[in-house]
Amino acid sequence: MMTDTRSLNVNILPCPTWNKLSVNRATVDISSFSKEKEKPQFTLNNLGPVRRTKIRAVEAEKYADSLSDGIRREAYIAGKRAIYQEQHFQTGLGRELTDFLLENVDEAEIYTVPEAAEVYAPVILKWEFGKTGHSASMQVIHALKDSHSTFLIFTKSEKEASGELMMETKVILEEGATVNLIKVNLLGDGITVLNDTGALLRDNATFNFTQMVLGGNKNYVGCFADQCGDNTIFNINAGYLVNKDHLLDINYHGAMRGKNSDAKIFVKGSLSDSARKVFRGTIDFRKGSKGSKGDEQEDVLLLTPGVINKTVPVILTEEEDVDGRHGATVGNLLPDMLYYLGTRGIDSKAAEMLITRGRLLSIANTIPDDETVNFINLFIREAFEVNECF
Amino acid sequence: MNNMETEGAIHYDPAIDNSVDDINAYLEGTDRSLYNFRDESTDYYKVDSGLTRDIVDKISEEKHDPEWMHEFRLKCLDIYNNLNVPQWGPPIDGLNMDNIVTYVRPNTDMKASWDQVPEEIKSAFDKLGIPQAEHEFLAGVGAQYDSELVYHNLQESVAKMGVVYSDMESALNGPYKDMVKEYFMHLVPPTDHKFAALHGAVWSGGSFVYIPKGVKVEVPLQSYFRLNAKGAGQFEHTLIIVDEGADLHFIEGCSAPKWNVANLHAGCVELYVKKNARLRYSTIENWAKNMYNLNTKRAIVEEGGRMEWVSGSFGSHVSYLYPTTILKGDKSSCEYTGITFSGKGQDLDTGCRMVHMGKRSSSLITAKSLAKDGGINTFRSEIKVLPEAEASKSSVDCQSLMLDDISRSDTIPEIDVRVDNCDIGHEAKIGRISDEAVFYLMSRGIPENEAKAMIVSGFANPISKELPLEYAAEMNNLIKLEMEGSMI
Repeated sequence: MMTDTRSLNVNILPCPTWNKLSVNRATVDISSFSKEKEKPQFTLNNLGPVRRTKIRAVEAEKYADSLSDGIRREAYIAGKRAIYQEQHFQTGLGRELTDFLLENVDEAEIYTVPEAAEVYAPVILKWEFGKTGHSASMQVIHALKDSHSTFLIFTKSEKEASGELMMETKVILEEGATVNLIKVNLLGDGITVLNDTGALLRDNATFNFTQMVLGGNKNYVGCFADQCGDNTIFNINAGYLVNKDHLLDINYHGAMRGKNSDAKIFVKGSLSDSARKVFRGTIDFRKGSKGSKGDEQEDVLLLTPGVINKTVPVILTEEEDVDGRHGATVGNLLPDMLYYLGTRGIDSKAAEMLITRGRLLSIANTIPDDETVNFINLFIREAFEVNECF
Repeated sequence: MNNMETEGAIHYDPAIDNSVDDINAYLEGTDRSLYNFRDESTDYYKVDSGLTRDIVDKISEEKHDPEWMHEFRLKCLDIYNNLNVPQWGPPIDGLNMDNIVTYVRPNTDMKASWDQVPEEIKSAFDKLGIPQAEHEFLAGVGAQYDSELVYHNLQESVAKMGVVYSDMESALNGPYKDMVKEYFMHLVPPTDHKFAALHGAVWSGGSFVYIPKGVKVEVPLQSYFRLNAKGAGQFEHTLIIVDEGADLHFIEGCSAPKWNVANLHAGCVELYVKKNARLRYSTIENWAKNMYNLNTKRAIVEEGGRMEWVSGSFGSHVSYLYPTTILKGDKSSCEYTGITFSGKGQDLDTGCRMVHMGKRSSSLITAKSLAKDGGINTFRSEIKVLPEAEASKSSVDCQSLMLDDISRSDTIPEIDVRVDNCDIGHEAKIGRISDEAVFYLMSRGIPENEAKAMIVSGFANPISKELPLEYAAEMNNLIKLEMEGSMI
């Protein structure tokens, strides 16, 4: 049986904080990860004109690297010693996960979207776990010039399932390409998830990334976008629901290097019980990003005492003609609102569910797959143990 | 010999309205070298450079420390030697403690009359406008030159109210020695970080203030710190206790001439705000641009108490400055209002921390920064809301203005919330001077340079309006000086 006693450092901020809140990085214990566990069932639907190539993982890595000119390594960021890891094609979780996957994944897939193709029905990659499972996968999505495509990566399991899921998705968007990448996690209470994304955007490319993290025991998710081209757009819409003693650790980063680019990171979610959450969001105006705009917003709903909510919304600016902003709001359900709903026969548990569902469905409803949206709806209701009339 | 490079102090008229236009009009003809005069003749006594046990013993002996303080200094030296330099901030590689002189005593003891202060030192404070300010609007003044206070005075009427305002050494050996022992470096323990330990080992100078219960001091007290000696450090300790229901505005000013070697400022400010008391602590920092300003400021606020920080950071080569407030009591509150202006060769890492412990405690942070000529600004903040701080509120508003494309401006805020019923908001914005605003002003006949200067002054106005007129004028003067040459 293969086990690993190592831990991985992931989701590393580009510049150090005081670290009084221990948010400079996350450390993942991977000693219980085992390839011997059952493999989840994988299905692929709606491939359409998209070409799928299976290739050795190391070759896929070289392929992605060959398309990236790499972000220059900086000794200092914000005048401080940079702490992020050097990684040619940068991703949110970072190099240590990539290295680990390269050791543990035999085959990766390259999905090539043909030039000028318009693929509106989502290509659906689904992993379904049984009671236990181990999944490690790497994908490269290469969207050629002026193509338009949507990919939905859906992971689900039984409620009590355990195991681990590790995934790295690299997206290369050639000039004028648009990719909508949707990642949905409806996994069980015993699954540890490391779900990583990296994107490279050439001129006029648009990358819309939607992430729903509703299940899993410990979730480490990240996305890094290298906006190396001019007039690029990078949008993140993320929603989460973290309850029980679960952990969610997020690192989203938009690095604008080309002119007139746009990065938006919008995150909203609910925390309850003794849940813990860390959100790191970085809007990064690099040299050359004149005329660019960045915005990051997080809206957190705290449903019970005992939660730990950490937020680090960073803006780095080394260019003058830019417009960057961030905002964060942390609050709870107002007593007036609960009272009002109570007078309509809706108890506090149902009220919490309704408010949370409303927030999360505002993101989920943009997913162009009804079955997935229904699963999300059901998952939220079950999480609150609220009866079907809601 | 006085190496005085400029004449020309600001002459304030307190009758003037505290508005940007008026202040700017007031400042016509001021000079960049206003703060940059040197006096090379006054370092009457100094210890060797570097940091050793012998040096710490010598400082302790010079200052007639009680035994507990001597032991405390040695304990701090031990801690200093065992702590690492912080890795998260701007590089401080240019600071070599082996080259820093930690104690420089000027050629005078402390006086209660400016007439008795040696002429070359008095002249320095005259240029900075301190005696005049004392005469016009301060209740008391402490003036420190290098490592020691050279002047200290408190208005008789204020002293009669029971207000204690003295230098730290007198407090340490006087009637309030037990109080000093009780509070000294308890809020900022030497284990806090390497430079807090350094401070504990070699501190000298600074002020002790005690405001008795219910006493409201209507006019501010001020301490001014002037570091004149080349390659020296200044390590003043400020300890203020505002007792229940009392009220104080304390002003701190600092400046130094520029030398071609590193100077170090590692002061420590400990503020105790008791039940229903209020303390406003205003600082205009204008150290020379060879200064490493590694200063520690902390306040603890009890039930119903209020702490107000007003901070302007303009000088220093490198700054680490994050006033921290522990909102311990229920319904305690804090407001931080600060501006940082970094120019060529400056890396100013500033911000604040708020720790909410009391129920219904509240904090409000308004921070502004400007960067130009390759200057680096970093705003850091931390809002920590502990589980017992139910129904607490915090709001952070951070705005940065980039004045060219060779500078940097970053914001690194952190929020840690551990209670569900609280209300936390955070907003930050980074941008440049709006072309539309400049165009609008130019269309009204205002030249481009002036239009930009007006916009920058307006940007800083929410901070300057929190200061007494004279300090608002000084702050606007500093902004004006910093802006010189940046707009063509």
